[in-house]
Amino acid sequence: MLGVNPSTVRYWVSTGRLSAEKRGRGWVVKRDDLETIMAQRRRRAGRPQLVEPLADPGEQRKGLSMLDSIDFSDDA
Amino acid sequence: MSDEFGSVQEAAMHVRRADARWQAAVHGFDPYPDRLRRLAEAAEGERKALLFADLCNVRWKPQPGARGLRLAAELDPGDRIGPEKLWVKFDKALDQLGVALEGDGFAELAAVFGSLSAAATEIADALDQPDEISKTG
Repeated sequence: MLGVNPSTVRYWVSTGRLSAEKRGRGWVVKRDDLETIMAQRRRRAGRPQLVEPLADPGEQRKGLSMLDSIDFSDDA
Repeated sequence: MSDEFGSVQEAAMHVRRADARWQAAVHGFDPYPDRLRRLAEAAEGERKALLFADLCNVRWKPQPGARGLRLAAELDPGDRIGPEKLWVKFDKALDQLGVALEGDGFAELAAVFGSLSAAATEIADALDQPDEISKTG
């Protein structure tokens, strides 16, 4: 999402800094709102690299699937 | 394998559903304190599903390398809203989650989810007190 770490967006929404609207099972944020916050961050820091790298894809995996703790090896 | 009550399949179904709720809560966009309440409810769902699996004598498979896991960057120390002492409890429970995933069985993992649920609820309750909003963990 515009090069912003999804966790960062979740944090902004969680803390009320960024508005999000629930649609069905997902959430939608306005691109303009997101770009405004990013511009503020860049101005405050004075350098563009504050746009965070995307999260490590493996970061969100561990601790999310308890199903992986079930041994199905003899159930096939 | 049959589908009768208490089968591996039924236990797996409950765990799969609990996982879906847990993943949605971890990646949720709800504002605080609702975010934490949703996490707490999902953790409680995991606790129940894992206890059920334990009661069904489902075979346990450890998840090596889970120690030190991170759920989501915004739950890491630094910019969090709420009392630090309560976030310390949450962090401790999260550390235990990684250890339990590498550990010996469903009961231990279920207990950790109980701790996570309690910690998240405590933070959410604290955030409902107006004076706590400005404190960070």
